[in-house]
Amino acid sequence: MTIVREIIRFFNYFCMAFTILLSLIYILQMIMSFVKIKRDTSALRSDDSMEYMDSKNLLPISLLIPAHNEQEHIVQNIRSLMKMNYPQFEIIVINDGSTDKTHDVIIEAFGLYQIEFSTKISIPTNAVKGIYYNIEYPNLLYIDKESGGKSDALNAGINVSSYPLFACLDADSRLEKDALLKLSASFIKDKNTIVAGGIVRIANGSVIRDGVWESFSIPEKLIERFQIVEYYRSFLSGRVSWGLSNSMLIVSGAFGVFKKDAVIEVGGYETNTVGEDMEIVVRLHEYMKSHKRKYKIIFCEDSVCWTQGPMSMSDIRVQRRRWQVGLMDTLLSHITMLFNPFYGAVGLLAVPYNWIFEFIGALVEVIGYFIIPFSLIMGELNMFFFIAYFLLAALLGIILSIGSLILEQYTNKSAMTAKQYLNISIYAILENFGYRQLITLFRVEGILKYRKLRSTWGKIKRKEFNE
Amino acid sequence: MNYAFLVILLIVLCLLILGFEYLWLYVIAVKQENRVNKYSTAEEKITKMVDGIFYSPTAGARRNEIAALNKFIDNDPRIMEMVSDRLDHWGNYGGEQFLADRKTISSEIEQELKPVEFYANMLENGDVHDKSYACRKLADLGAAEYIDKIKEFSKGKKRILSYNAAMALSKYGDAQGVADYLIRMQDDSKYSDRIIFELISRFEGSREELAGILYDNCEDSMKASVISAMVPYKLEAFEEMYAEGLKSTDINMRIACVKAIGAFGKQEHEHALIIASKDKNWVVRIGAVRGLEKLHSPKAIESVKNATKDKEWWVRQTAANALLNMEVSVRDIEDIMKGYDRYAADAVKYSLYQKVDIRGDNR
Repeated sequence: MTIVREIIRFFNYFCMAFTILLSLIYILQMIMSFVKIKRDTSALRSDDSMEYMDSKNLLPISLLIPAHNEQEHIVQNIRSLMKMNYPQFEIIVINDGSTDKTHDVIIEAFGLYQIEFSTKISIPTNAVKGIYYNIEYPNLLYIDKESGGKSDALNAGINVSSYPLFACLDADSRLEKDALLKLSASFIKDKNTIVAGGIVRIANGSVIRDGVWESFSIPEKLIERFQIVEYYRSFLSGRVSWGLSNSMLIVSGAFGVFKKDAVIEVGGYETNTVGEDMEIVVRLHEYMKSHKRKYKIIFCEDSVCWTQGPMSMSDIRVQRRRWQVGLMDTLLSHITMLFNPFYGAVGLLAVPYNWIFEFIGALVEVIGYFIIPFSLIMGELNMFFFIAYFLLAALLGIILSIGSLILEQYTNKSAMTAKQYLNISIYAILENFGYRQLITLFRVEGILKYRKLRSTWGKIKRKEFNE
Repeated sequence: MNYAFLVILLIVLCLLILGFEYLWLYVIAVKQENRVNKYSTAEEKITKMVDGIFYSPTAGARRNEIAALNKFIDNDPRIMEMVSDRLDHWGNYGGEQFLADRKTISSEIEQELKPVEFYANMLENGDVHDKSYACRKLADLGAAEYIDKIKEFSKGKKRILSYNAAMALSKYGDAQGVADYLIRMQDDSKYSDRIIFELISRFEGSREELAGILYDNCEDSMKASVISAMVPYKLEAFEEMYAEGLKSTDINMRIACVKAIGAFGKQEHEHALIIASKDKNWVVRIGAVRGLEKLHSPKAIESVKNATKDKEWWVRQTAANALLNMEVSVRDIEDIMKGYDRYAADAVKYSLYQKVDIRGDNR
């Protein structure tokens, strides 16, 4: 019995130390991000990427949009992409065995007809049923293929694409008009860049017309407000800081630009995973390091993609479980990189961080939710320390959330009024009491149902864009 | 130290940090909101003020309007840029009969606003980003008196500044300055070739002079990039050098030279291009096919037809596209479509789909 008590006591202190350590790491990341964002914001004054708008010297981009049951959003998204500020690009929509009317709405909206296509198969994929085109829309191609998942759809798009860069986009997101221009400048200013990821912002509450943000009002639902703060924290603090040490492990599936050669060289997207956006980036790190190549995977906080955040807790649950499964998939399939000095900062910092804090951390946190109150009731835990720990953990969480709102101020200078910022800051406090814990529970559910959740597209119902 | 005290101290510290964060958030949010309001109304105000200058009934009224505009700019580069845009609009507005008037008014505005002085001040006193921006703006204004200073910046170690200074030198058409920058860039492993292309396409001086300096002083890899960047300008003075380059053992040099030779579209290069269309490297073969596309001769057509059977997909596709742009007979196309080589037929079919609306009248 004493041993059990000792174990419980040890675990209590371990949980506390773990949570505080994680918060401190986050705060360190936030400080690093602040320095980088401040530097980048100053650099915007001398930035000439807009002068490349009509230049023939920018690398042309293929925009790949995998679609599975996207009948509501797809046509509007294609129309919005056609208005992008970029000298040369093609849009390739890949219908991955949709069972709704996705196929019909695309064909009808753009008057597409089937053509015989000559394709270089660089990456094997499931059978392509047909390729559609309309001479009136010379930069639009539509691929209808048998279902094989998002990765398979992206690989099919890569095979058909004609340009040296490709961007993977979500069918239900919107790119800002200049987003490609800003992101592709990274490939010019450093030729070692192989991947550039943009920031994904929550569009709930915003009016975005033809890829231009117009206005913002605080969204109705609490869950939407929490997600706004959450995305700021994740992108502006997390990704910016990992990008600094060239050890970012994920580029959002909603918006990332890749050098096609590099992706083909590593064999394209892995089809046996739901976390294809993370897996491809980790594999590129692994490949480039093991072939001793110079490379850069960068994050550009100025290049924006808008997405509608889920509107219900059940949809958030589906989304977060899926993200956790994707994380596990990638970490398990690249376990050799863990604490491996050969992979530099990736092997020694980014991969261990994801293992310890993003994967195992969720489990520790949830076990802590049950054991700590239990210990308190059993008298194994000092009440003073419990309250102190709880206060400290909550305060650190709030410091992080408010800090990410400050970072947001530096990157997106026109989004909200001062009153709206102060309003949103209330949710930056409130999310630490319930919402974050619930999200952790969903993540743990993802871990527990890992096998079952690995083979779905994971559809989420999203709101229409306010255009 | 007592642990309880330490914990309380930490909590107090967190509360202080939080208070500071809130204050910070509030201050910058208000500042940003004011900025947004300022710039969102500025455009409308500037339009009215500039239009007011051009419509002023008397010289005195005009002077007053110009002085008001100058006060409104208040050394703000963004407002200055908005004013320049509006002035450009006036520069392109109206018929010929107003041209003389507009010129007089524009020079009056310039005398009062002194944009060159404004940017020169940024060039002298600003930080690295101000200086970078000022370099480009001074070049846009054609302020030749600052070219030496800008040249100095292009030689500096700050990448952003030297890049922007080089872009400015390109606008000035300073061949030696741009060439010096590019020669130094050879040692920079980061910059992509696209910068060389952009510098050359923005160059407003003699490209022949620039190419001459670079070809004499660059290493082969840079030379190949410069040759590729110069392709659209068809510099005949270097034709012989390009033809010689086709025999180089360096792949990049062969690729650049085949593009350059192909761009001339001269019959005398037909033989060299036909040989290049059988090169070991597929990118050279693509360059040769594109060059042959411009010739339309029977031999060129035959070589392009052969290239549709190339083992590399990209060559086949380029050749199919080229063939459809050449004056070929339907028979030539049919030969390939009905021929034994399925890949060649597929390539031609795909190219046809891109050029011909197969729906015809059945739409």
